[in-house]
Amino acid sequence: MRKETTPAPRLSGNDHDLDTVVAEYWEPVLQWIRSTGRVRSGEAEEVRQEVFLRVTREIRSGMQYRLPIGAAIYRITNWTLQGYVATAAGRRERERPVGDTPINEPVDHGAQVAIDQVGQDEAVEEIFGRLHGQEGRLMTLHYLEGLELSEVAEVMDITANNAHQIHHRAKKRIHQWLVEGAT
Amino acid sequence: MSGIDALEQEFRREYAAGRHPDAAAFLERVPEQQREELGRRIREVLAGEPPPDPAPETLLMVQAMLRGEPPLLQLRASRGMSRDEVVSQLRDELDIEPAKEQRVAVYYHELETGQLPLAGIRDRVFDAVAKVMGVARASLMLQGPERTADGTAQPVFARAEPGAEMSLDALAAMPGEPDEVDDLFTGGPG
Repeated sequence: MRKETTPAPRLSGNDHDLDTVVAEYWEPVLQWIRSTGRVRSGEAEEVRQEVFLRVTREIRSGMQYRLPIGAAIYRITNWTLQGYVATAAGRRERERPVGDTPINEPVDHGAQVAIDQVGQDEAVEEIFGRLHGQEGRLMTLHYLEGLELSEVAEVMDITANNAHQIHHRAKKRIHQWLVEGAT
Repeated sequence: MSGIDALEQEFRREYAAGRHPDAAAFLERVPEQQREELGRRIREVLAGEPPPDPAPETLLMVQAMLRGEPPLLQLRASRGMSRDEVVSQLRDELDIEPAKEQRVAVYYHELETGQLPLAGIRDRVFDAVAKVMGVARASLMLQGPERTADGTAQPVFARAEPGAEMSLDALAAMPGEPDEVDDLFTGGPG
């Protein structure tokens, strides 16, 4: 696992920062979405809306992005786009462990760093995408966006103890998939 | 320099100059087998260049959105236009017969108050709204219902424009069968 040791700049979450960030990236994000050729005009608008609703929520909650804000927004855009396209096409097939409650959240499964034994970006993306919604979200925030579990708990509005339990379950599940070959 | 190189450079120049190049339009200028590559290069430009300063109207709409208010409504108000004026110009731009103006009014009201799913709106409508409002297409901030975790749509805006309730005439103008107006506002994407 590779995690930043120096603290990333924390956005204050005040409306001035939010104004600036959203306004500056409003148009480039639409261009980015359209450049993929994966969605049509109105769909691109919807994806952009989802991106900025999320960015707005995260900045207001004091989210600490490990990446520069521009890179973080483009990464969120890619995740959102993937989730949107998969949903729209009815092709989202996520592994759901028996007994867990399905959550149809957008697929937040980007990747940028090695994580434990997983290694490659694409592999991390794939693995996190297969996780139960809450587990995938937690692992993304913790490993890919560099938040401590206590911070992840705040963002996800769960207790720290619950965050640790979810983290443990997710790691165990990934281990089963990778080492034991479970599906 | 290949065609794709030239287009990449053209996009880069246009973007740097703040002229709002449309990525999708650029993709349409190359054969289908080259679109993925051109799209990748355009994304590199977007990620590598600093974003352009937002237009004043974009800031206006962003601030409205952050307050939980309909951005399109704020934009219209800043232009000093009544809803009837916008609807009339929109009908003209979309080449819809005058008798159907009330139908356009109903859809415009839904669009302005964040009740209309954006994916169903035809490209022509986006273009027409941008033209009527006098903004670049990509700068236009439209919001539709927010999709919740279970996939159902919830309006982004709980509050509608005061006094924007539909008239009985407008409601009566809603036909039983879908027509060209329905198609423009709900038949998309595309």
